[in-house]
This record gives sequence, C-alpha cells and structure tokens, in this order.
Amino acid sequence: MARTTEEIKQQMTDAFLASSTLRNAYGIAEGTAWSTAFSAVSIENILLFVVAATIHVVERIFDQFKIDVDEKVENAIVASVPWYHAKALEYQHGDQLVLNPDTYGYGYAEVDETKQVVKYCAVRDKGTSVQVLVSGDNGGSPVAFDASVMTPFTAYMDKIKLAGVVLNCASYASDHVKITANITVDAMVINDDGTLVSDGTTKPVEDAIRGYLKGILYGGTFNKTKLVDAIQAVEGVEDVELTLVEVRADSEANYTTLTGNNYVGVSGSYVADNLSTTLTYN
Amino acid sequence: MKATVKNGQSLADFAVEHFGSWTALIDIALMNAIPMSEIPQSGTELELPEQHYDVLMEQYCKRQGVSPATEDSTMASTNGIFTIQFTQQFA
Repeated sequence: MARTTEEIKQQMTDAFLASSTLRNAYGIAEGTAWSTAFSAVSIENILLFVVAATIHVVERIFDQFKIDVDEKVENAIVASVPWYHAKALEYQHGDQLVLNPDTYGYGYAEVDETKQVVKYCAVRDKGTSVQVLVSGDNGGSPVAFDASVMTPFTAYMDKIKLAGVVLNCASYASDHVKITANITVDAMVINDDGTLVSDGTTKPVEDAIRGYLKGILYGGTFNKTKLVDAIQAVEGVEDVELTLVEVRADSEANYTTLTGNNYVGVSGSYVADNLSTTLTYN
Repeated sequence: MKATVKNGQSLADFAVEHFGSWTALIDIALMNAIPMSEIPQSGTELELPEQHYDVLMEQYCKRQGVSPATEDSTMASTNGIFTIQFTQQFA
C-alpha cells in the first residue's frame, strides 16, 4: 500500500532533523520542528516535497502493477477443484455468459450478487469426472434445486469448464440421519422428555444435534464422535450412549445402519429424523 | 463524471482544479489510460474518479475558480512562485 506524500515527507524531515550534522550546518537547535526551521516555500521544503511526491507516484505504480499481476494470475488459474467451487458460486441465474477474448474464458458482463442463487457448493474429484453438488438456501439450510435452476446451471458449468473434463452437476435434498441414543441427564436441568426444566419447551439435545448437522461443511462428513461431543456439550447432559445410527439418501426409502464412524452423504448436507422418538432420556 | 481539459492544462493542473490535490492525477491517468506526464489537447473530456482527495482544497478551488494551466504560454501573468524556467528568480 503506497504511503501518502505527507507520510513520506514526514519521514524525510524527521530523518533530516535527527541528523546532528545537518542541524549544525543549518544552525538548528535540537527539538525544533521542521515548519519552524524552514519556510513552506524554502528550497529545502520544496525539494523534499518533490522527492516525496515522486516516491509516492512510484509506490502507486507498484500498487497498480501488483493489481495487474494478480488479475493476470487469477485469469490464468488452472481449473482446480477450488476453481470449480468458486465458479459454481458465481453462477448468475438468468444471465448470459460472455467470452473474454483476452483470456478465452467465459464470464458475466456484470456481476450481480442478487442473481447468485447457488449458496452451497461441494466439488469432488472422482478421478475420471468431477462431481459438483449445489444447493440454494432456505433459512440457513441447504435446499435442493429443481430442473428450472439445474438445467441452466449445468449448461453454465459445461461452458466454463476445462475442455474434455466430465462434469457431473447435481442437487439433492439433504441426507437423512436417524440417531437412536440413551442420554443420561441431570434431572434438575433436563426433564425425561428432553425439555429444559427451566422452560418446559426447549429441547437442548435435539437443538445440539441439529446444530451439529447444520454446521457440517457442505459436502463434508458426518462423524459419530463429533455428534457425541456436541451432545455432551449440552448443559445437563452427563453421558451419551449411541445405540444406533442409520442413514439414507433422500431418494432411498430404507435406512442403512452406519457401522463405521463416518458417513459421506450423497447430497452434501444432513438432517436428523424423528429425534423426538429416538432419543431416550434417563 | 467527466470534465473538459482547458488550454495548457497538465494532468496535475486538471487534478488541482477538480479535486484540489495533484495526487488525483494518478487516478485520472489510470482511468483514462493516459500517461501521467501527458498534456491533453484542449477540449479533451476526461473521466473523473468518484472520490475526494482534499475536501477543503477542493471546495476552495471551486469557490475561487482556481484553474491552473502551467503550459499556457499565452497567459499574461502567473500565480506561480517561480518563473517558467526554474531559477533563483521569483515571478
């Protein structure tokens, strides 16, 4: 960031007045201010201003040079997984792409954030193809797109992608997680129906589970240990015993028992099912 | 916003007239894709940056109609400190 002319000149005058040789040559007492020692139109003041102004211009030129180089680097970026992720989020529903003749890449003539409907995106390199999962947003949770968005979005991704790359764009409703657990609670804090003793309505364990699932990075992994940690962090919870965790994609009718510690959903996001009947408090 | 360059105005003159500060010339040159040392033709329209550099001086220059033109050889007098050729002589 370029310094201002005033900042540069101040450094120069400070250095000037700090030099005993220069002070002696001019007969200036130590501690004298620059404006007291030299007139605003003195040759010394003007020369220092000219040099400071020149340095300021040079620093501004270097700032602009850096901006130009950054822009070139950004335009020349290899189509990596983060690049596809960023490009998917830049999709503007209803706008046409324009070819940039300098970069041979496509982009929008004007960025309009109000048309950027993709709020969640996960990109997975599948080896022979690249999977792009996207969702919109509804009250802070991912919501699947229908064909009215996915058709133009897929056309957009096909246009901007690196030639020859196979893209698989999809948007699914959240995966379902059914958690069966025995939760030992402090009876003075949490009732045996899971509500708080203090208000009789809030269910802090269910809120914690939903909060954990909502907090998983879109496209991330559901982890049993982290789920238990989230439940145990609730005030009044003394112990947690996960007896069964079942999962299913939204398109599947039946649950599958999760035997390992982790589950990577097909949709990129997760919701909890039937918490009011699968959690037992004692 | 655009403004017209007057006869004999350097970019620094133009910057002082419209912004009260010579430093605006850097952004003016950048926005209009011209060198900072350019002396634009009289009547050239230049794009102006949407910012302020020195509000007090900008208001002063506008109020007083300050319109420097250091390359205008037809001017009968100058408000500068030195003569056109930089010597120990004051104007």
